Amino acid sequence: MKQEHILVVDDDREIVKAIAILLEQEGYQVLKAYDGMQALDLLASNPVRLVLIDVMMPKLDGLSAVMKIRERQNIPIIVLSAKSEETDKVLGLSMGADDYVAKPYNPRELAARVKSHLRRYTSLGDINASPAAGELRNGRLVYRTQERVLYADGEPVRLTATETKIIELLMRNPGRIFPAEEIYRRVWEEEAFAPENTVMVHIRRIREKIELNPKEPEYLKVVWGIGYKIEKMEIDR
Amino acid sequence: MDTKLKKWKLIVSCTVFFFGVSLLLTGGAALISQLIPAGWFGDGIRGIVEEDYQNTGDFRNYIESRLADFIAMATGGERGTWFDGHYYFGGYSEDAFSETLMQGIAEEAADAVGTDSSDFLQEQYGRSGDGGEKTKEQREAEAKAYHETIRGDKNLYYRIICDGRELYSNMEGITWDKSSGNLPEGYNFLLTFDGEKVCITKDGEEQDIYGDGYYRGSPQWYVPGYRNFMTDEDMKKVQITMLAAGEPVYYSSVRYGKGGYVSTESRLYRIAEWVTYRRGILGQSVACLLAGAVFAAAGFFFRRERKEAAVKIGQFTGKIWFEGKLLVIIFLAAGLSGAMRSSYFSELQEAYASAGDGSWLGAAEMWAEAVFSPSGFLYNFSDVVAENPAGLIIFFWLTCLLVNDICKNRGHFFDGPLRRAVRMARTAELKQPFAVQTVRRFVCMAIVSIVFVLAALLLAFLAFEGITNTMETILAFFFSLTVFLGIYYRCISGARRQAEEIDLLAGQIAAVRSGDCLEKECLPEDSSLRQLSEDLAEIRQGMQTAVGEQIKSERMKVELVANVSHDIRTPLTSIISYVQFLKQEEGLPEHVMDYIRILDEKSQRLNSMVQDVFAVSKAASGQLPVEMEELDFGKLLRQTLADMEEQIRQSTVTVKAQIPEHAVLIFADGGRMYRVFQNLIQNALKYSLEGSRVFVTLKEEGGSALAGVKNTSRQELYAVGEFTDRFVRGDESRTDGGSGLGLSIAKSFTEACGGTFAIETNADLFMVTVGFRIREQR
Repeated sequence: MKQEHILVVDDDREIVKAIAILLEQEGYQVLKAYDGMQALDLLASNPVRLVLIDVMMPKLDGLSAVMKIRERQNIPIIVLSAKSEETDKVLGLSMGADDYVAKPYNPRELAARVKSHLRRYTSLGDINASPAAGELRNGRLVYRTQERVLYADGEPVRLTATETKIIELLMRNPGRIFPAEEIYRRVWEEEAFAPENTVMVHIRRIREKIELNPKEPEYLKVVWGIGYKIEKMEIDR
Repeated sequence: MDTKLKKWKLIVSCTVFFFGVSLLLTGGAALISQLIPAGWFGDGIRGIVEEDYQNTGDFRNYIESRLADFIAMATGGERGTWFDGHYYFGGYSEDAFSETLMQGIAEEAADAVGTDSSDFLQEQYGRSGDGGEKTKEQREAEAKAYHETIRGDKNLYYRIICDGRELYSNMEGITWDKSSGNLPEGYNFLLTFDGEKVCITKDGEEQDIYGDGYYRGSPQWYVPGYRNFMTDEDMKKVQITMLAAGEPVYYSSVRYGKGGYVSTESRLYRIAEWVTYRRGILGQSVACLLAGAVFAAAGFFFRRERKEAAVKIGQFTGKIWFEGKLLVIIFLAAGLSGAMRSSYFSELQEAYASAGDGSWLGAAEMWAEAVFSPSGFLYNFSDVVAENPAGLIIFFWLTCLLVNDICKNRGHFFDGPLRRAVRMARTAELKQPFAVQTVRRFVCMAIVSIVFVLAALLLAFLAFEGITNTMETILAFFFSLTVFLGIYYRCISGARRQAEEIDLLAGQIAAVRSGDCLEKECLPEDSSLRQLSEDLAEIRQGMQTAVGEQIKSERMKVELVANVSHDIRTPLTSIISYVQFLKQEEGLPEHVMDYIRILDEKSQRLNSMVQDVFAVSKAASGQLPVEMEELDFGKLLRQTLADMEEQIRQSTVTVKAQIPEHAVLIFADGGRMYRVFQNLIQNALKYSLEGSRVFVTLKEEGGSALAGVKNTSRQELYAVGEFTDRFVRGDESRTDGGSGLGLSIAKSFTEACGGTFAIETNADLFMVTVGFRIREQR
């Protein structure tokens, strides 16, 4: 398999090294840069498939670098930052980044995100094409209604029959909040008695299978005090 | 030298101006006073410049009515009234007014002689009082009596001939050559009536009477002979000759009845005299006006000095107390009203007399009509002016001084001892404390009331005893009532103002209480609550500063925490990453693996602590963003329990949920509240006695939804207040996981969502209650 180049940019050399080790274990080729200018130089001379970049850096800070990269290339960019506030995240994404990971990162989650973005960028390059018939798309999730199979990053997810029913219900109505009673009635097709636990157990199991970090789910969310929903993602870049 | 000249100039300018305006005023007033009664543009102007009395309307009227009388006497018909002298009424038939007047005069005369009025009339004039149809004899007797009355007045000669027979004449021994046209000595006016036409010769020249032969009203002669005023058959046999003197002399005759008398005067003399008098007045007026114009012209050259002088005079009069000026104003008003009243008074009497029925009301109505119509007013005004021109001048100049004073001393016109006293009293009052002011005001009102009642009683007593008359009593009563009401008004308006100021102050205090520290308005300087208001403003300022500093320090704190947590996270990232790699190493000795496990645990705990500290500091400073929405509190609790099912199953305790099935709607941020209950339940799982039960309940009480988490503590509990203090935990050793910020986060998150958070301990029972207001279901 052809090795894919990933550019890791951070002014903290130890962090760059740690990420490099992590990604090399996953089988990627890692290019290292320690400030924004260096990153741009490396990008100009190497075929890079994905960029991991820190925000606070000398010479050229991360967000400016993201903007400069975006001027020329459409490769996935994941921003790493010690700032965990919501506003920082929104700012990063609006600058053109594809994803945002807070420090200290969870190594497994970081690896999963890199893999997800690469898969979508390389194997599913036609992601912008209009969905085929019988295909429900939402971010990195695709549900094929005829096959009754959910794909995450193009890979089929193994779900039980009940879980598939729940996913189908939610994928057909992205963004809509379903109370536990309604989910129970429509999936189990009988009146619910204290359905909260049952539904929650299934939701948790599905999360384990589809979310990159099940503890901080991006897609399958609990709307506390109201119900459950699948977040409707912006049109993917 | 220069200043002296200037001073002289000032004086001269003033004097010239004074005389000029005074003379113009006198002359104008005299002229107007003559013009108004004569009628502005009719006979008036022509009348007063006319030299010859025979050219006046009065003369013409007199001659016309005499001619009418004489024709009536000759034909033996009814004739007009015959009061030669001051009264005359033309026309061939009597009208109602002349009848009434005659009757009135007859009654007066009869009163004087003590006989019946009709008798008097009968006797004096040969006519009956009832005015019924008279016999020919009676009419002849009337004519005869009239002839006797006027025949002595040689200013007017007359001869009345009927059918060639001379009936009446006072021309005994007077002859003149008719054909030559020479009149007797001293007579220059000849009127002859030949039965059809009238011919008038004046100063030997025949006058054109008929013009084109049609009568069209004054100033044409109202005599028979016009085509639209023909003579009748009776008149055709009448011939009349009248001679009027060029310069009438005084004549009077008195006729005595039974003890009474009627005097008559020569009307012609009066007319001539009036013409002379009017000419005299005219001359005076014109002289005055001319002199005034000269002075006014001179004053025009000194107009700049005059203006300066006006300023100087204003400065001088400005020093006079207002009380003095008030006297002048009263004097002026009294003079004006007095003058008007004296002239009106006679009219009132006349009106009373002519109202007939003797009622004052009717008289007053007629009087008011006469006096207050514009012409009536002018007539009276001219009377007043004609009688007292000096009064007019004084009135005018005093008014001028007053107006000048008002214009030049606008700000301090009212200055005087009274005003100074009022001001001093007010200043002294302001120095008193608020309470004293209020009490004094009420005491003052009480005293004034008592004094007023006493004064009224005294007045009533005086009036009852006859010491004062009604007018004086009424005046005194109204004076004291005015004073009483004035003082009452001052007290009440003062109290009202104070009340309004208290309101304002209360509003300001309320504003401070609600946290508005920006408004800096104070009460006005002359307010009795000024000091309080200033104090309040200072408190406000102090609060504002304090609040501002607090906000600033809170913000700095949050910034500090944010920076520190960021700085901690960067090395922490490396630690966690490399510990992770260490964990993957294989073939390490058992004890090293143990060390690595400890490192892993502690680094994770440090991470969660950093995050919690950051969250708490944000929430505490009110900067925690919340997304409030309507949600079901019960569902939130059930979801939280379901979410934590695994943890609960792994723990040694059991969780009992007592949550109502129906929706309990509250308004809160679901994510934040999940975090709150997650912390609370985690705490309960962690610190509960093994095998005990944790109760999660939801109750509705009043308008609130109260969620409780109760557990039995494994260790002895200490004082309540410390639990939510940051970093306080069930045990002091701090060796287990968790940041120690759980309760603190729960509390600050709840409060950020607008809920209440309460901790209660009872022996080993630990209870947390989270309360929200229930929203009405739509």
